[in-house]
Amino acid sequence: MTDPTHSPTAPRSPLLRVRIERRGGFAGMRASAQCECAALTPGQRASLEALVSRSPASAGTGAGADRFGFRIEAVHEDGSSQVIEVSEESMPEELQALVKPTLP
Amino acid sequence: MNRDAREAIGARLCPLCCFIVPPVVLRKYSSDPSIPPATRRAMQQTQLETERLRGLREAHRIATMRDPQRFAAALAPHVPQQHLYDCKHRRNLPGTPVPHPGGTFKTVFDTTAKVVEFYGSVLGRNSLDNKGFDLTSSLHYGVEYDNAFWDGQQMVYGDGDGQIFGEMYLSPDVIGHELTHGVTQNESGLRYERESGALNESISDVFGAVFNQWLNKWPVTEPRGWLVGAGIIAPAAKAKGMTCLRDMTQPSAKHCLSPQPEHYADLDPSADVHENSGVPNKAFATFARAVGGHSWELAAKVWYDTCTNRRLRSDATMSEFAALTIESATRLGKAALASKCRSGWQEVGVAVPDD
Repeated sequence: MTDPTHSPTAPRSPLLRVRIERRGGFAGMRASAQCECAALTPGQRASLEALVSRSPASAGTGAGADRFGFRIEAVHEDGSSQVIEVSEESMPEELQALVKPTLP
Repeated sequence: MNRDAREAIGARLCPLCCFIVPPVVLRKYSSDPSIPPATRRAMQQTQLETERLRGLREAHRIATMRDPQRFAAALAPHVPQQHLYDCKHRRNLPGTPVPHPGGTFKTVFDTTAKVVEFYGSVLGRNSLDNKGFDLTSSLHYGVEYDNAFWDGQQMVYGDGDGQIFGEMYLSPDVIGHELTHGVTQNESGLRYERESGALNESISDVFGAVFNQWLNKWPVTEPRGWLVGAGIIAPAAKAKGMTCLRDMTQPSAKHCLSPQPEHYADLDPSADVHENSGVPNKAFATFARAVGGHSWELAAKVWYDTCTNRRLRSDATMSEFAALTIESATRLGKAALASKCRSGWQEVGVAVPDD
């Protein structure tokens, strides 16, 4: 869901920070990562910008079973934020690599 | 040859309906100038066709004598074939074919064959679709990929990160779990969200665990038989006391890498399907342990009946599923079995019809 104050046609201010949460998978373990966008590689940053600039709040339904699912919360420099749900097939590998499971 | 006889032959003979006429007769009359040309042509064609079919029949007779198995298989139900692929740490499916599986590929091949045998000999099912569906497995998917999945067509296994998870195919129950997703897809098609999704997951855990018990000949009293993913726990997770991903007899236990709520009232409806599957998992484990003996002899047959008798809706709730299992138990084992099944569901707080 995009934040209601932002018009979908207006250009977004640059990305400041991102939080990626992974769920699902055969193990069903939650995993997440939070980072400043300045710390991302140019490739990761480009993938992230491409992903959040697409309007739909969710990308891909994901066929089969035990696939991962991702929830991305992106915060822009102007303070606005957006949340999108992305299936594993639609999630760029370089962004998936940011998320590592941790032991309870 | 008189006119009546000629007319009779002319009326009867056509290339498609006179195979019963001996070739010698066909040969003789096809060159008889007293018979109309059209009829003679028909007789010639019939003779040629008869010879062609005779040749085919003879070729088939010889071939079946030389290789009877091959021809028997054409009529028999399809025996599922296996296809293995190596993703070579990329994410392109299915990957590169592995025509002669060795090492880890052989492990997957052998365990997958055992799952097919389990479904065939215990539950009377011919592969995932009950029509001999060929089984495709891809290994070494991605880099340190901590997952195994069913993509709607095939099984995919990662190597794990080596610290928390090991190679995903090292637990037989994981292979049984993934193949069972294919069975569910072909039967009830339980939707992969909310309660129906948790049931879909639980059914894969149930038949994955029962397969592992069958493989090891473990009775229901063997605690290892109720662990999901015991074989994929890597050293760092073991060092913290983790022995499995999930424990069907005690889903919230501390030795589970992925602990789950044990009671229906504690479920968050929006939680991941792998989180909410602990409730139906425990219901089954409680039921099977109350029945005793080997889970595959009776308890699993009750669950399998519910999963395949076409009454289970794709959007079923846990309560609806529970009611169907009690009906299956009544059919397969009368009131005593149904009572144990009902108790299993009551143990986890799922509402069931009155006795």
